[in-house]
Amino acid sequence: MDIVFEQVDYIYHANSPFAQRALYEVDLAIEHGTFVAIVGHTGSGKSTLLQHLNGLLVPTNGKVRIGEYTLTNRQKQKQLKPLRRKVGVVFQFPEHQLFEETVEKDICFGPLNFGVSEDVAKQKAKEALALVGLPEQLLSQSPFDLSGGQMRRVAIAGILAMEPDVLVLDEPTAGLDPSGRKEIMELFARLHQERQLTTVLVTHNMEDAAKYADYVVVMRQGTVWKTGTPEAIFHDVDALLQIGLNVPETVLLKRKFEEKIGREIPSPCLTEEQLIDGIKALFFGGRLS
Amino acid sequence: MNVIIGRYVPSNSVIHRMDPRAKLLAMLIYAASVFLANNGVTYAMLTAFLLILLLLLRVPFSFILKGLRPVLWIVLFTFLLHAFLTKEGAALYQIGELAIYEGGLQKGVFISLRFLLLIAMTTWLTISTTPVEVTDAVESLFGPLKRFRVPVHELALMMSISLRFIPTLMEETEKIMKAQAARGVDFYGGSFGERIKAMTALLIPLFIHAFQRAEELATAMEARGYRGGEGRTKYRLLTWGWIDTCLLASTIGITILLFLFRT
Ligand SMILES: Nc1ncnc2c1ncn2[C@@H]1O[C@H](COP(=O)(O)OP(=O)(O)O)[C@@H](O)[C@H]1O
Ligand SMILES: [Mg+2]
Repeated sequence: MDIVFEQVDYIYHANSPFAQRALYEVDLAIEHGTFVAIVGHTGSGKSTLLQHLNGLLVPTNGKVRIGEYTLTNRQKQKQLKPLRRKVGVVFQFPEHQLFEETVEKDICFGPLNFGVSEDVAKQKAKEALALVGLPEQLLSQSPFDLSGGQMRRVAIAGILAMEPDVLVLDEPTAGLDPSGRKEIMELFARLHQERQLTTVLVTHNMEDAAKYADYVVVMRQGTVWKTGTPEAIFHDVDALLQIGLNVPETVLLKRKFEEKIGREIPSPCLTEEQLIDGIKALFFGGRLS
Repeated sequence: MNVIIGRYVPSNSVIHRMDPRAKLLAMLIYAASVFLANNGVTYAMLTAFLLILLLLLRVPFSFILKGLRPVLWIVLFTFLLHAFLTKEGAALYQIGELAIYEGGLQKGVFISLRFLLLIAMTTWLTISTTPVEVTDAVESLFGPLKRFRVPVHELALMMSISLRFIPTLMEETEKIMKAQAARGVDFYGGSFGERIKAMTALLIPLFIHAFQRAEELATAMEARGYRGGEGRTKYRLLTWGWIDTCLLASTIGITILLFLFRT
């Protein structure tokens, strides 16, 4: 499902003294099947933008098109259910949405709401739990007896069990330990490939954005500041640092390295492997050896 | 979130800067004296006084009116109830079985006006006074009751904590509603069973978090040496100025006038 934002404004509590503008004339196109990372400061409007993807919010002005659905400010909440089946949203701290007596029931909740039969839902719950790397014994336990990390995984499984075409992730690894973080990100990358999803990921982790995304969208003060491939976005290090955002560690290292030896590494060095290869090429590629 | 009752609207008006004790007292005296009014003159005085107070808020008037809109239905209902059910004075209008009498009409107007005045006065207080200020005022005004072993400090603390967490709870409600809506919950319709399910999906996480937060808060307070009100000093000191005396005096003045003009 292609996603297109056309001149989208969003104002919270419009027409009241508490009105708070969060999006300004956002234009954005996300092609079917791409992995897009959205980065930007806290308060730059990332979560607001995400909530337009399944009609939790509808634009105050402008249009959002998602596949055959078009959302404008005249949208009725009732007609959005089919869209919500296709667009799965994992919210920030999704473990706060758990409520059932058992893990199995909680994971089945989404599929059942979308009209899947009970047997099929149970089957999907089992699969989803395995996907997020949790043992099957947990199915019969209460979600509130689990550790924070496990709760997070159960909540994510609850969305995966809906088998959406578009997976929307709002800082899914915030607060996890580094290994858990890596596992979860690898899971999303794998699902993106296997199920040919469109994935939209909000993250503060520039390494993740560089490593997994096909495109990076940089948000700033409610506008889309820049979009491009990770190579293009992280090439302009100073511009990003200037607006208070980070670049991947490897890109910084590359820069320091280049300053020291006065030569340029041709690779963009977005990941550790690329950096190592770049340095190797420089030294052993026949030029410095 | 268009309901304005109970919401503070920041501004730098005279009223906003007044001592919350003066405002709270004025509100209470006014609310009591509303029940003294029983004829056109007295209601007119009350209304005029309130209008002046509302104008001094320097908050757009249209906004105050818009915020009161949800209550207007109750006011209208009260009016109709009294207008149709009171059979006093001459019949003015006949619709089939129902008749409107002069007395009923008058009573309807007065009772619904009384209601409106009370709500508007409360709104006047909450628009201009933060919940924390109201709590400070309550603690200060009821302070003397400590002698009779009324736990004034604890009650005030409970009040301020509850008030502090109302916005947090509302925020959380909104978040959880959205998260569950993303999982296919329909909060705007569905069968009875579906509605019950939707409510559990909202309320259970909400309660669990409220309890967790309460526990964390208690720990945090103890860690910072909280031991109750005994010997505790105040960060915000209340200062009573001449303008506060003016407000109180004029409110008492209105009450005296009401005594004189009521029939
Ligand atoms: N429910 C809300 N009510 C009012 N304002 C909000 C709400 N949610 C977000 N905002 C405001 O909208 C802006 C963008 O917020 P958000 O989309 O959450 O940013 P981000 O996810 O990038 O941190 C912020 O200024 C924030 O204060
Ligand atoms: Mg956010």
